[in-house]
Amino acid sequence: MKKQEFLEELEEYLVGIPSNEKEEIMQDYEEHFKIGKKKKRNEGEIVKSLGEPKEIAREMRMTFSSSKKSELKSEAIETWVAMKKFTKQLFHNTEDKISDVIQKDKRDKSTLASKIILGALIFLVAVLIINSGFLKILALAIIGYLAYNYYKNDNKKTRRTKRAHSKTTSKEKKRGLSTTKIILSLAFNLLFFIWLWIGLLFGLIGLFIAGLSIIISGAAIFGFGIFALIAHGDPLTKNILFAGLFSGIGLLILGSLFTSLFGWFIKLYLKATQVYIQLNSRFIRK
Amino acid sequence: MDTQFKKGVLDICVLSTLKKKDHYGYELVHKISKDIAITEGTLYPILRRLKNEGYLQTYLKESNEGPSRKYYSLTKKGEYRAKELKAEWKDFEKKINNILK
Repeated sequence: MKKQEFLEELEEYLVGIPSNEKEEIMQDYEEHFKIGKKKKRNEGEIVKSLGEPKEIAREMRMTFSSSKKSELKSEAIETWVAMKKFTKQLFHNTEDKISDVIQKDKRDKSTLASKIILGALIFLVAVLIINSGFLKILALAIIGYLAYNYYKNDNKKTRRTKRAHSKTTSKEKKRGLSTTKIILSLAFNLLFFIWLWIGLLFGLIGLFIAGLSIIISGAAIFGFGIFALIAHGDPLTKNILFAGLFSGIGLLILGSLFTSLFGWFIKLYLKATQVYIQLNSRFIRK
Repeated sequence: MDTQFKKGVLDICVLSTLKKKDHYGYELVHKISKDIAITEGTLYPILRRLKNEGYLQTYLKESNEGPSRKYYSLTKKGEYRAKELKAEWKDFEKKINNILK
């Protein structure tokens, strides 16, 4: 990793830290690089001795809020960054692959492989169109993009070499990606996984809201029980009111159990998402 | 060494090093990470925390080899804290030594 990459990654992970603080932090690390270079250390060495941006951001966040809260926050931010990274990488690679296919197609009019790939893409798009308005827009964007690429072939070559030049550092990431695997994972994720993922997330949010409402109703029943006992404590209603009091306590406990279960599950969920994204990016590499 | 343990020790290291003389970030981080196996990057958050807690202050100073550098120095509160931590450490050391005997 180079200096620029390190700083960019660090900045990405520093989401949620006040912007003036963030600026100062970035300046500190830039100064560190500057002085390190004066002391005749090379960039790679400095980056290595500084450690992981992810860890640094974790520590920074810990200085701003309580450790338990900041841990969950870190988990969420790391998942977000991993998702962003993966989408970016996937986008660039698909872009390259598609333009490769189109260019090849232009050179010798019909390659079976490229036709199959394009066919698969169009099939995917067609399936998506059936689903919803948002996906329709997405599909239109993909089709538009394909058309744009087709007519821009001449400029493409120079742009590609330029990008290859500027991205020499992440060369190893660009090598050895399989088109079929990209399409497979795209199809699997869009058609199957993402719904499961969203569904689980909403399920968890539902759990949290249910927990909250149980807590509120528990508190209300408990409060009413006490109020009524004080206001009119005639022996007949007393027993009923006591029962209400205890059911209020029970509900309060049940609600807190739900909400703490939510906290625990959401952590697990975020960790699982991170692992899943890593698995995906490993899968699309050959 | 255990990381949790290391973290506790780092405050003492930073404050005591700064008690001797003011350091700029790179110098301080480099010095401490040489003796205690910790990545240099994770020391900056500690500096930031100590500054936010009012133990450290910073100022910019020109250097003859390039742009100005950010120097760290102890505040009165920081000096007191350094003394306190040192006493705690001495006490802790004694107790551990007794156990190890």
